[in-house]
Amino acid sequence: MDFMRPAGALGKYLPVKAVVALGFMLALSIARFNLLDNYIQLVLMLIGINLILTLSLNLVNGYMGEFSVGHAGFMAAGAYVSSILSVRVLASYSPVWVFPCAVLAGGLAAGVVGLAVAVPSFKTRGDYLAIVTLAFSMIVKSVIENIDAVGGPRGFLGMDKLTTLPWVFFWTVAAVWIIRNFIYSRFGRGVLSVREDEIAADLTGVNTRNVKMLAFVVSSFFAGIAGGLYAHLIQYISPGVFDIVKSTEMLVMVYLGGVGSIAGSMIGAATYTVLLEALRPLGIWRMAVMPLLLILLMIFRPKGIMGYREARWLSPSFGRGTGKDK
Amino acid sequence: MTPILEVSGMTVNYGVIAAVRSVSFEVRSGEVVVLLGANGAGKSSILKAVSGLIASSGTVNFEGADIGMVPAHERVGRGVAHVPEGRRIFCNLSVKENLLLGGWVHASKGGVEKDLDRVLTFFPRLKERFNQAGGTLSGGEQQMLAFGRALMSRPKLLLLDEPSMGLSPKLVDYVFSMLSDFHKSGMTLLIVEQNAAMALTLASRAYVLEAGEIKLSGSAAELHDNPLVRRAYLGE
Repeated sequence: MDFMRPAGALGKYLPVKAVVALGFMLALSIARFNLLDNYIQLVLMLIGINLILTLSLNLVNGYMGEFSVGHAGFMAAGAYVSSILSVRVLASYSPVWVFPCAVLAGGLAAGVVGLAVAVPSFKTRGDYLAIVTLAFSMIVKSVIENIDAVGGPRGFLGMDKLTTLPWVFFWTVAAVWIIRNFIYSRFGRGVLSVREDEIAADLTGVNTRNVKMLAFVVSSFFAGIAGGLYAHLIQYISPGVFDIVKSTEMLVMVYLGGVGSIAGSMIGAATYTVLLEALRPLGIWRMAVMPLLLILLMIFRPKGIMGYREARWLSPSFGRGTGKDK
Repeated sequence: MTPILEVSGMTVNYGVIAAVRSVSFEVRSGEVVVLLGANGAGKSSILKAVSGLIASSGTVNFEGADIGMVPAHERVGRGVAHVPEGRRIFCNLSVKENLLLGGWVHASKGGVEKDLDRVLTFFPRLKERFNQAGGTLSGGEQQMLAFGRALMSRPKLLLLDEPSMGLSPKLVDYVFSMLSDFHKSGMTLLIVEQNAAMALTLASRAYVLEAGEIKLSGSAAELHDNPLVRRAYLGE
């Protein structure tokens, strides 16, 4: 598929690649030699997981212009599938292999669930799609609550703490790279055209149905990956974790950082995660900050910090002369 | 000449209201055909039904095949391009992205670069604005972009809905000279136009619609001299 191919020449993104390589080394050594306080490491990992979630939701809400409020459902699918795999099915194998396989399987499962949601619900748009996705996440929650084999409402545990800083770093970079290349591919342009004017998109020959499905499946895949990472970090999941509040958190991060922007997703996820940790002394009141933030945001900066703008190092014209490229 | 487009018994309903009632017409290869009529006569509905945006009963034959059940985006691949009323370019996307989206149906088969070159030679102004957002273009430039986007799909039949709408008289002249160039390059055009005088000078044939039915048809010259057309559409 053409979106898997890097958008530019090999050497073009050399500085970006160097930073990524350095970051990975840093993540490895931090985890290996415990260079940072465990709590700081936890927050860093949460930032990464939240970034994957934000990118995933931004693909649907920001780039495609639809409105999903049920992404916690896909996260739950990924979390439960990967946890069941690592605890029950693959437990006898070496964790070195179990973990990546379990997380990947969780992502794929979420992708399949995403496809199952997309097929019927893309007959609707806008508000209606929002309601369909909301209903979907409620279905996921109550289905899990009623399956006793995975603990029902009590939750599921037994996962080893397999999520480490290098793994989170790896999946975060993968998410940024794949989603960025997807957006700047031909399919990505199709996604943008759906957001801009679906009728005009139809008239230019874009198969809007396929394009929307593909974007939705990619989005739910990454929500599932984030779910798998989360489950093996916190080592406990329950249906209550993946409720409407979780979906709202993702919405806040998307709209805080900026719709239709990868750099915005980074800013949104990092700011929100750090802010939530910094406000811990407020106790339960810190949860009031989130909706308040959303209200203020909608009044003063409805498109978010980076709305529809992209950092230069993430855009395809990076490393080229301005305006001369074709 | 064989008709490239043959519409027979086309009916379009919006709820209980029939916008187009059993209309039959044809467009022959290489022709320019104009649909004339007052607001609400059903002209735009006919174009939308031909390009597949709205459902219609009756048959729509394109190059001998019934395309009535073919979805809109696949009709583009067969060679039907529709420049809709109000242009509907992608305002937040760059000129480049707009044009590349126009070439969507050919992207997997290649040759899009060549199409892009051809369109940019045809509209040098678009080359100057290549990386600018479509919405920042002037009205005339947006019309060029809409044409360019349609040309990117290598159309055999170009459907144009009010191409001169909202443009200054000077730009209207320019638009019609472009349409005449399209025609000379061998393209077949089906045009809906309020500016009947201009449209009739370009067209080979015309149909006059009233309340969803074809009232008159004939060569452009004939209709141009028809007293009814002169009174109703040419302002005499």
